[in-house]
Parts: sequence; structure tokens; C-alpha cells
Amino acid sequence: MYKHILIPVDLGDVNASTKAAAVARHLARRDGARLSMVSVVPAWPEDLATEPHDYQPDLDAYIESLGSEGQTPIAGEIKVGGSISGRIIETVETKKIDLIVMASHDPKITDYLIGSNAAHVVLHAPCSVLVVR
Amino acid sequence: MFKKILIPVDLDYPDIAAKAMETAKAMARAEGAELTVISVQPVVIDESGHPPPDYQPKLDAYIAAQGGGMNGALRLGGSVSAEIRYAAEELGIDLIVMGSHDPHFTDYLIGSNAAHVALHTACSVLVVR
Repeated sequence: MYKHILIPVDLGDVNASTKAAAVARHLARRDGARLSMVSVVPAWPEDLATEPHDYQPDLDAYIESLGSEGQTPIAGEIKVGGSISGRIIETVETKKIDLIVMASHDPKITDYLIGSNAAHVVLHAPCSVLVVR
Repeated sequence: MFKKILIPVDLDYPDIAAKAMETAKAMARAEGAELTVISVQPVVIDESGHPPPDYQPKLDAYIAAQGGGMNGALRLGGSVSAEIRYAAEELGIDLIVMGSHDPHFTDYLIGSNAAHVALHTACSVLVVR
């Protein structure tokens, strides 16, 4: 059914993505699909005096924390700078993603509401989108 | 993973939901889930006093044309997206599968009812493109 599934992750709140990651893994195993994870990070730290942080080890550590036994491996990629939803949609195009699986909410708001970045992806992505609640 | 799947269909324009229906059927098969077709009809105030058209035969015919094996639900209401959300809660739905577009717009754009359901419903939603 699906060939390449993308999980967008907010590294500032990885717990919000745990359920989406589990659903994506289930579908990937079921369909024999590839799995990619993308995290869009700011180009500049809030304090411009410090060096930009390298987020790749953070993403790799999160992927490792999800466990790997009997699971489809997840390829993690960091996108530096730009609009979050725009860079996710760009990733869909370059990687030929056919399904995005993502969490619905900013943790600060109620569960039913969707975060603004997630909403933009749902409305404008060129591929199917599964919002996990 | 998903046990109860809901697919909204406009019985006056069922072709719009064709791709979403194929996805919903495949998903239900793969997950061993129960599939329910829902159609929301507006409450029409007809000055002539005629009763509103009965969509039940249309819904039954649609399900038969899809090969059967699914439930049907008809709802009357003012807001299509709200009725879909209420029905999803009442039926214990864990996944709504819906097409993304109004036929008048491009495929990337999402219909206003679909958008409202995707953004505000309490269960998972798969927008099919």
C-alpha cells in the first residue's frame, strides 16, 4: 500500500511523536515500506554568540531509543532552517514519500487541536497524511 | 492497530471518495478492522412540505456496489464535519479515512469539511491523496 513513509519529529518534544512513530513502524512493517524521519531545526541558535548546535546525534539517539529489534530501520535527516512545513513538504518531494505519519498537536494546546505546522502539512502536502491521535 | 474505520461519502457525488474508499478497504483488510460508510445529509427546509429524500436506498446501493462487508450510517445535520466528528465518537471510531479535495480545487488543496475533520476530530485521520 505504501512504499516510503516519513515521520516528522520535533526534537524539542520527541514524546509527542512516540505514538506516530509506532503507527508508522506498524504500517512500514505491514507494507514493506521504507521509513524516514525528518526534523527541521532553526538555522541560528537563539543566542547568536554560541555555535550552531549539531542536531544529528540528537535525532539518531531518539531513533535508537525507539528500539530496532525486528523493526524497519529509520533513516533520520536534519533540515536546517526554513519553514517547518515547507521543509517537510520539500522532503516529501525529494524522497518520493507517499505517506506522512505525524502527531496532531502542540503539547501546549488540547489534544484535539492540531499544531499549526502539522495543519499546514495536512492541508498542503502532495501525498497522503495520517494524523495520529 | 486500527479496529474501527470510518469513511465519509457524499452519496450525490460518490466518485469523489473513490480513491479514499479503495484505501479504506485495503486498510480495513490489512488491519482486520470494521469499516463504516457515513453519509451526512443536510436538513432541508422545503416550503412545499415534501419530506426530504430518503438516502437509505442510495446508501445501501452504494455499499452493495463496493462489494458489501461494511456498515452504513446516515446522519442528518447542519454541519457535515461536525456530524462526522459526533458519529466517530458515538461509534468508537479510531481512524477516519477521507479524500483530500473538493472537485473544484486542485488535488493538493483539501476540502473544507475534510480540513475541519482532520484538524478537530478526536481520533486519527488519514487524508488520502
